[in-house]
Amino acid sequence: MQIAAQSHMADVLQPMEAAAFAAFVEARRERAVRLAYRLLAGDQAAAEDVAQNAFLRAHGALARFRGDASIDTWFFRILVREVQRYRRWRSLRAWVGLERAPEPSHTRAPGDPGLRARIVAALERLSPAQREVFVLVHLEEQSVAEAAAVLGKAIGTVKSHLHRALESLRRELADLAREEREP
Amino acid sequence: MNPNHEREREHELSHEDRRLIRAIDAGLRPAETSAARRAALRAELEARIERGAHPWRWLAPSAAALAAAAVTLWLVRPVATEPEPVRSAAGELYALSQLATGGEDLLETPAYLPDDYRALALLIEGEDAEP
Repeated sequence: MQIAAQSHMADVLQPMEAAAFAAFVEARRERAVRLAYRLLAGDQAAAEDVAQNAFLRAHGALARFRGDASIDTWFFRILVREVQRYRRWRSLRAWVGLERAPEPSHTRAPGDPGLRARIVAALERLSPAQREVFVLVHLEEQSVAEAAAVLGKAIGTVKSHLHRALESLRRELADLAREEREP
Repeated sequence: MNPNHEREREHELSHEDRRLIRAIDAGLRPAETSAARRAALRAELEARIERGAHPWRWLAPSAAALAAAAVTLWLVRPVATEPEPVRSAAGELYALSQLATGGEDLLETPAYLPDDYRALALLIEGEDAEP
């Protein structure tokens, strides 16, 4: 049912009508910003920029979308690549010393800032692949197969990254696993 | 979420893991986008798509500026001067000898000949051979 709806959406989007694309964007904006936010160390402004760039790239590439994957898998693949591009750009600028790496802007985000900082630090200590897999599967509730399709990795590789990510987070944030905390 | 995915995940996770994941999920959420912010982002995206659809509108001023710069560079180019004469290898050698002898011709200066050559020159050419 879900796949049929997605295929229908792809058919609607093929002519790239402005209204259809606007609906496509609005249906995914919150999720796109949330995924980017979690992959970008809780940086709200960067997450919005990256999501915006991903929508722009998706618009340009829609004519080439062949429907081999679901349109959501296709779009989130674009988004994850945009996140990777942004992180490379940020690291490069910090390394070259053109400017200091911008401080993440999460002042508007809800919840305990101290807890958020600990979670961000623990996620940043994961490898990029482990972080992406953990966020997609455990936080964004994708299946292992969906995450593998989004990341262009084998299912076995995704499972291996997932196992190591969870192992690392258990060590780093053991207290969160022991006691339930309210958001 | 697909219930099969949930069962797959729940099967692999302990109670502690599930608590940990719930805490991370709750602790790392962005601020909800306000209606005004949504409208601003929508307008910005539409504007960027519009710019991408009609690149000539943005390329035309750039091309005009580039052409103006090229014309300016052509107008202020350095005026061509007379080309330097090309010297042969013999000419270069002569110039070097002039430099070394302070302008005297090396081959016509008996002072540069060994003593026995100078004596021989006196015998053959008489006093005229001496400078």
